[in-house]
Amino acid sequence: MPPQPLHEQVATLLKTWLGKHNAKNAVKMFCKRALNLTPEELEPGDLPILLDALRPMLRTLVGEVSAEMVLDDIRRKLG
Amino acid sequence: MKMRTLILMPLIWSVAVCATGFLLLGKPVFQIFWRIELEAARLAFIAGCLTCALTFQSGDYLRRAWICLAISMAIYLSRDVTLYILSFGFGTTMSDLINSFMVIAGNTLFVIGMYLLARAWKVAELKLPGSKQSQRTTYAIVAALAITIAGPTAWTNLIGLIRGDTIMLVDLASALGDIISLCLITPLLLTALALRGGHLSRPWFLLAASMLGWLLYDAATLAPMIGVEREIAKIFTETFRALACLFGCSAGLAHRQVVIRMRSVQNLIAH
Repeated sequence: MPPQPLHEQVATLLKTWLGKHNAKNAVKMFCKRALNLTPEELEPGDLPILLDALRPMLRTLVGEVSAEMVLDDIRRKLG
Repeated sequence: MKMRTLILMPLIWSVAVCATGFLLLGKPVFQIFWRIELEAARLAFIAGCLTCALTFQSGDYLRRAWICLAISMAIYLSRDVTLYILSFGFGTTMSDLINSFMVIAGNTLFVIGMYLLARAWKVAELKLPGSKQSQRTTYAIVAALAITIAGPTAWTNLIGLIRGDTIMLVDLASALGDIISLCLITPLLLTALALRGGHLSRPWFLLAASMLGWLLYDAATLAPMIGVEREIAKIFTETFRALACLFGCSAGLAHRQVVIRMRSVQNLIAH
C-alpha cells in the first residue's frame, strides 16, 4: 500500500480535534496562504511553515500550551 | 467524562426539577425549593465555566470568554444573596439600585462571554458549513425567533421608560441582552457543525444547547400572558433555566477535557 501523502497525514492528526472536514480545510487553506502550494505539493521541508501557519487557529480554540503540544506531536510524527 | 454524561446530566437534572416542582405545587416549600434549585444550577454553571477558564493560560482568547461567563453568573448569585439580606428592612430604593446595577453588569458580561465564544470560528478562521445564503437564512430565522420571544418584553420596557419609569431601564437592558445572546445560537451551532467529528465540536454543541435552554426559558416567561397559571409557568421557566445553566456547565467541562486531552497526547509520547 502506498504511503499516505503528507497533507493527508497532517489532516489525519488534526481530525481528532477539528473533525475531518475542518482538518482538511485547514491544511488546504494554510498550504495556500503560507506556502502558496496545493496540499498535494506539500513536501516534508514545508512542514515547519505549515505548522507555524496552523498555530494561531489552534491557539484560539485550545490555548497556547495545548496548541504547541499538538503541533509538537505532528512535528515528531511527521518531521 | 463522556459526552453522553455531559448531555444526560442537564437533562436528568431538569426532568428532576420539573417533577419535583409539580410534586410541591401549592405547598409552602414551593418557593424555597426554587430558590435552592436556582442557586445550585447557578453554582454548577460557575463551576463549569471557572474550571474551564483555569485550564487556559493568561492571554488565551477563550480564557476571557469563560471568565466573563463565570463572573456574570457569580454576579447573579451574589445579587440574589444581597437582595435576600436587604429584604430584612433596608428599603426598596436600595434594593432597586443594587438589583439594577447587578442585572446590567451580569447581562453585559454574559453577552460578552457568549460573543467571544460565538466568534471563535472567525478568529480561528474556520470554514462554517453551508453556503453564505443558507447561513444568512439561519441567522435570520434565529434572530426572528429571538425577537418574537424577547421582543415584547423589550417593547413594554421601552414604553415604560419613555413614560418616565426609570426602573424599566434595567429590564430593557436585560431584554436586549437576551435578544443579542439568543441570536448567538446560530454561530455557536455553525461552529459545532464545522468541527463535527472532532472533540472540539463538543463544547460548541453544548453551548448551543445551553442557549436553546435560555430561549425556552424566555419563551416560558411569556406563558402567564396566554393564561397559564403563574405557578405552572414558574415550573417551566425554572426547568428551562436549569437546563441552560447545566448545559453551560457541561460545555465548560467538555472544553476543559479537550484542552487537557491535547496536552496528554504530548505527555504520552514524552514518557
